[in-house]
Amino acid sequence: MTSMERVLRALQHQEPDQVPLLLTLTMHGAKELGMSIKEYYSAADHVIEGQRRLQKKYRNDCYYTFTYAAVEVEAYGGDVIFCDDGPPNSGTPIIQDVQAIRNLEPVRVAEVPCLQRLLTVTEGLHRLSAGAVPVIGVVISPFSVPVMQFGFERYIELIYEQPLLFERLMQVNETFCVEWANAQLAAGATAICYFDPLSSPTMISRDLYRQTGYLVAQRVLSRIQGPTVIHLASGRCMPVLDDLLRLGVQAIGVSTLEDLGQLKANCAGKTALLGNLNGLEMWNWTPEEAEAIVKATIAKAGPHGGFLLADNHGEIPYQVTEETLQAIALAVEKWGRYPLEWTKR
Amino acid sequence: MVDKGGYNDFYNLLLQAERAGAEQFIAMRLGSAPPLTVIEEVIVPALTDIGEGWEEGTVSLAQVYMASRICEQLVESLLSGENCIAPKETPPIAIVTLADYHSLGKRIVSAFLHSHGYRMVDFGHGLTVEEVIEAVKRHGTEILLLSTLILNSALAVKDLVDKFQQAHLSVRVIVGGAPFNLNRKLWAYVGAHAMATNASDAVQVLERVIASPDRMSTMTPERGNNR
Repeated sequence: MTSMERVLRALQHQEPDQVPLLLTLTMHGAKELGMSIKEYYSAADHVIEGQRRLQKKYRNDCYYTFTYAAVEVEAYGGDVIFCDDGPPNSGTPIIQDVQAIRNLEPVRVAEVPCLQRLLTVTEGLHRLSAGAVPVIGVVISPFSVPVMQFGFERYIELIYEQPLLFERLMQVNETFCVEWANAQLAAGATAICYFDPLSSPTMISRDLYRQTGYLVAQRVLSRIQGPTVIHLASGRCMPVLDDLLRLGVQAIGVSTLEDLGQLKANCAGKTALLGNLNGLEMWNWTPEEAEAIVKATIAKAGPHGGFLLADNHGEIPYQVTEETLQAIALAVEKWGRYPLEWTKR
Repeated sequence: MVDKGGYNDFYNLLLQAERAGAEQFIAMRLGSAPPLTVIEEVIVPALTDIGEGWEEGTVSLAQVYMASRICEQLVESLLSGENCIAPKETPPIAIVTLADYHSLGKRIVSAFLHSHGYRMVDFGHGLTVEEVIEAVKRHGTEILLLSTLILNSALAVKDLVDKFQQAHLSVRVIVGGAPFNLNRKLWAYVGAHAMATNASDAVQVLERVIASPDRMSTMTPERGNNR
């Protein structure tokens, strides 16, 4: 089976030849090319080559176009702060005065060089894939991106205290998000991962989610012209699982904070699960620990398909070693072969 | 003793970020109890329960933030003018977000500590290890509450602690934030004195650190893994 066939079979809640492994490797491409993270992200060719090497090295079942979340504020002229050993961070929020939301307009994808660079990455990986490896594109949800646009504290206050300006901000962000997602699909992305960490009950209450982030997701996902995955980036999802299932996504990225077996039982036949290896523990796993954890994770969610093994955050920390990543890949090959007879014993 | 009737109402008003309702509730309680009693028997327990609710997954971070902001302002208002009391006597305390530019966690912990009568210097966010060391020297800090958001910042605490030792600075470091919550061995690895899992916990951990010079954990059961 190709990676594409493997992933599609799993998404159809059937058993492929092996549990798909979706390592969300980003900054590791810089290590592969022997350059700084900033230099790596400065050119599309670097990212394409980095992803090519990583996919081959770890037998990864996807190419991942994600570079850094802050690209979506960089698109509006915001600062990106690079460091040597971690993900680029967004700098000073681009919206300093809440009233500026009234005049905010969505940027156009075609006019923004940093977005065009990512589309070049997507096109390059699509060519490289030749239909055999899924190319996963990424958008940050319109509901979550204001954490970078506006600052966390002020955005929470906006949600609670200024509903009209909040709605205006969502209109702008939704327009951009839909255009950005569809541009990636047009460039060759197989599916779009809709990162929505603020919608997790870890971040906002279920009641507030239903009045805000859920409605945003409903409006946006219905306008994205391709398969979608929703990812809450390490946050819990169980209290809003019914809502997420109603969004019609192909998979949900789930947290290590929740019982994977219970999530699988609740989602079986409805939507696939993506997860839930703990990236923050992964950096100091021994190979033996990596194997044991992969095995236990597959035992909980692997049977009957509908499961893709990944980390639980959507980005594996830069500090995770090659040895650990190889141990994870080997463990999937050892314990992830269907029909997973060992789980039935 | 303050009338505890309606405590759940106050708790729920905070969870719903109903500032006006919360202020009204406290104003009514002030008819039968002095401000300090209202703070100690109504505001602080409600904030504590909300902080612990986040740890248990029943309260969201946005609710914790809004509740902490409302309570911080209530406490400041209650302790202004003739009700002004001296802050708790402690060694010099400071709070900082190392390397990261998102400071929500620091702000929530600050608000909780203020509501409990602690005062501290806020070094800000996005500081490098060297900048934190300079700030510690400048302010004579003995206890440093340190928040991080991502793994590389959390690992930088090890470098900070090493440099404190090299510079013969006796600073007790209390860490918190997502990397430490998702990897319960990390605080010890980086050489922190203690870790706090949430803002309520930070208050208790700070009290214990002030009382004891030895390294300690939060004694919170390990979570966040598949094993």
